[in-house]
Amino acid sequence: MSSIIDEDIMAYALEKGQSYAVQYVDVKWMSRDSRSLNVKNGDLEGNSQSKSQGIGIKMLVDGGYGFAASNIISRESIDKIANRAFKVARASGRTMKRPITLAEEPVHVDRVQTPIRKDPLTQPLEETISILVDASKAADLDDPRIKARNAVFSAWTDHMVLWTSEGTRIDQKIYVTGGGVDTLAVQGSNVERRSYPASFRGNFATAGYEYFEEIDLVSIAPKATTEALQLLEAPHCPPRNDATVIIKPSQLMLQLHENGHGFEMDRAYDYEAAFAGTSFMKPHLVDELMFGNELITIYGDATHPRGLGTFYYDHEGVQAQKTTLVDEGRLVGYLSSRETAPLKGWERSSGSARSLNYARMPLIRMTNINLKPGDWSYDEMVEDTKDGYIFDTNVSWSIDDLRLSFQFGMEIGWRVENGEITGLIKKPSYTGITPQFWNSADAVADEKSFQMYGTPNCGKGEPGQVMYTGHGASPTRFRNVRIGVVQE
Amino acid sequence: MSWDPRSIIDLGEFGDPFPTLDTGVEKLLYMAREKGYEAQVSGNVRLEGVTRFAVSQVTQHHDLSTLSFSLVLYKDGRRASANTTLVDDLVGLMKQAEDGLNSSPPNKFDQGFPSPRQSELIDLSAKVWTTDERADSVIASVNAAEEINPDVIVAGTSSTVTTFSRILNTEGTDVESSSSGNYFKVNAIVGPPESRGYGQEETQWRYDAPSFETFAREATRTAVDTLTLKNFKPGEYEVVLGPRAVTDLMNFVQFGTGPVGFHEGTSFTSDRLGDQIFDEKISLHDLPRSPSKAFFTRLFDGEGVPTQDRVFVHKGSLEFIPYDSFTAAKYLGDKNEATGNAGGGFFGGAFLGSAVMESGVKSVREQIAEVGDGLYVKSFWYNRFTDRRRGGLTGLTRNGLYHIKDGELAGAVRNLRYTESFVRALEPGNVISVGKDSRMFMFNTVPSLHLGRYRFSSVAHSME
Ligand SMILES: [Zn+2]
Repeated sequence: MSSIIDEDIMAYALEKGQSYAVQYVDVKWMSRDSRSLNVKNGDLEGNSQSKSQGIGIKMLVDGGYGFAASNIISRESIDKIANRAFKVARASGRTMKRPITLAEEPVHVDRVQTPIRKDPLTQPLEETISILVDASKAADLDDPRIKARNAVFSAWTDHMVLWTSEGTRIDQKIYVTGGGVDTLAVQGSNVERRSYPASFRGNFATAGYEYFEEIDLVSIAPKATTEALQLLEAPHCPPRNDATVIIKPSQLMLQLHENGHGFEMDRAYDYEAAFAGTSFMKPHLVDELMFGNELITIYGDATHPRGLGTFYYDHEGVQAQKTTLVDEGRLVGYLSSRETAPLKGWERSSGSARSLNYARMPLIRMTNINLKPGDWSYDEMVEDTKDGYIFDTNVSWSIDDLRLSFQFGMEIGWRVENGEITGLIKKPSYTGITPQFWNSADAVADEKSFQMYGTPNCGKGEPGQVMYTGHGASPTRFRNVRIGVVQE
Repeated sequence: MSWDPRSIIDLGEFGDPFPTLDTGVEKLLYMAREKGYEAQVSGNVRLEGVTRFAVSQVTQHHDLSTLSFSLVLYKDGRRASANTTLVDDLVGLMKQAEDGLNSSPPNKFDQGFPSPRQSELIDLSAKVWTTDERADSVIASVNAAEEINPDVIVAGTSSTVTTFSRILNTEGTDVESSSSGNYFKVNAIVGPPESRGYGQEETQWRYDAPSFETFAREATRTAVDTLTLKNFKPGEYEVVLGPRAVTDLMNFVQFGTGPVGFHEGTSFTSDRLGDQIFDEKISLHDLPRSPSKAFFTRLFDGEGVPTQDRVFVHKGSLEFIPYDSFTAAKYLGDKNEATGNAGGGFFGGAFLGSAVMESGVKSVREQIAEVGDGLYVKSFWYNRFTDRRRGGLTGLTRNGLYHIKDGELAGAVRNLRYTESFVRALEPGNVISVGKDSRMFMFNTVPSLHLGRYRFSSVAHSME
């Protein structure tokens, strides 16, 4: 079984691409191997594995891009792809009013991979399945209100070999592992779901199978069941316009994600206007706009160990970087690509262009969008809160196409009165306007309570590209938040 | 003479995938039988051309062709699946699925693959839209938009997709299905960076291309209109929803109507089959075999079960829940109660992907003329469930929100966020009229709707 592309084929494809009148050409071979397991109420309901592999050729012709790809890897097929890439590049070139120029990047010749202790795709399936079965049976309370207890495992590798006409030769293999549990409790039309360590298939990291073992689903599963049942009885999150809310990392990560899209330079320059939308953080506002107050510093960090958006090189061959996006409240940077960085006169791409697989052109994707920790201990933050709420674990999200008006729903909330947690609340929600919200932060917890979460399912582009990104934060307190928007 | 699903692929342009596909699926089925497994095998071809434009020029141009195989093995309640694009490593695919099966404990509900059912072959092909014609559509759109406003920034997508599948199983199923279709979308942006106007028009199409120029002009007019905005307070308003807004609500109605949610109690359909959920003016068909009416069409579902045109909401009453063979076995006790709505793959679930809403008699203009004081919503954006059981959603207006005063459009309004349930929005008595002019979208074909009230919860596109 060929698990890596033949160098002769790469050389042939690059040579073939260069035989056309191109300004730039790259050949990208990618292979995605994945494994997914689902157990419900002790029964295996999903055991699937998948392999996708192919080769794509991207050309810059007359200032326009063309791309073609196929999973048939033969010289004959490569001839066809190169010819089609040239044809579409020329068709694009006809429409160009502002030809594409690429930011310079040093030539890289390198072989890299995610550090792992155990390969998640070669672990015995029986072992993982038996952990999932145990987790989905843990805390089997025999309560008729429990409709489903799910336990899931996911893992994949993305192996890329990228050769460019500039001389870059990169061989990079990224490993991702994840897992989670959730319990669904239903009483009449009252529906509650509680998940650990995060909703939507759990949490993910660029790591090996050891990460799944560390999550320890069997130990955390009973808590999901207990809390799902407690939530059935809990009071609703009340509607208030001036609430004090402590948002924990498993929700704040999605706030960072949805706001993080606004830092994508293609959006800021209207390249995504037809689908994802644009950004309120327009180019002329860089170094001017107060995104938040002085407590808020946000990085795009592709180097954070184990972050789901961590890699060594992006899919344009640019080395991974840590980019400051917001510095003590002020907008100072973007996530960029080789095509977009020059639009602002910047000399180097931030290294944020990634593609779903061999069959897609890279787009600007978030890396790990992380909030710099503050100096509050989490316990002191709660003790310091007279009248407030704690929200955790995202279930619902929506934000406008400028990334201004957002609304989130969570699985669980807690009431805080006079510095003490006094009970649960169900179906918490909050809504706001991005810069107002980040300007209302008054306490950011310290490094000790910093947690990374992964979003494995971020969609962008046409044809659609699902990408995995990471988001780290410590619990953060916000004032004057509108909560309880979602009522029955 | 019946339609040949294979005739949809242009062999000269893409090469002939069929020798590899046929040898592959037959070899996989043979190997599975030899090893004593029940099996479902499929060979799939997907051809896709996507021309994206932005800042008034082509920014990305994908041209893709993919041949893939998928294999599901079953034995004594145990099941595993594997799929691959490594077309010359089918032994590897078999081994992967076999390893999966051997590690799987039996599932007490699983009855294996559905029994074969035949059905008539129908031509589901669309007009071929070439690379150059798609680039021409971009130039035509940009020129037409600039007639309305010379400084307009134009964006959009022109794309075409062709799919072919052959599905076989050890019960005797051996079926083929193919389909193709096209998509055009144009966005217009005008005005200075701090206060811009936005417009958009889009449609899926199969036989006759829309007028790219008309769409581009209309999008640009909306963008110009929305340069100047009135600020409205959140609250309940009488609304006319254009087809582009209705399609978003219908996507949630359709994807909220799955078998697992229905039986687990998390869906708006739970405990309500046969109930009058919506106003009697709402009738919804699922028409996967009607290529002139629905965009997402196929002759067989992902398990090789024939699709079927049917009514799922009749005069507001919910009549139908879709099942694949596993959910049919688990919840109804018989795998052959599968309805032809399976997604495919491993326990893929079932969905309604080809909805067509019965249209009424009024044009959008006539519906607007009947509103004293309300809002006209051209389109919604970023809609998400807030409460699946009640059909609760939140989302935003985008690309055209207008005030209606005394039956006339009375200026554009700053975008609003809504937090509203589609069950409440379409409930008996709240649907004043259904429009007559439908537009075709990815998963449904829908007209405009005039609703008595719709709940908006906050203001969008605003820094304050
Ligand atoms: Zn996203």
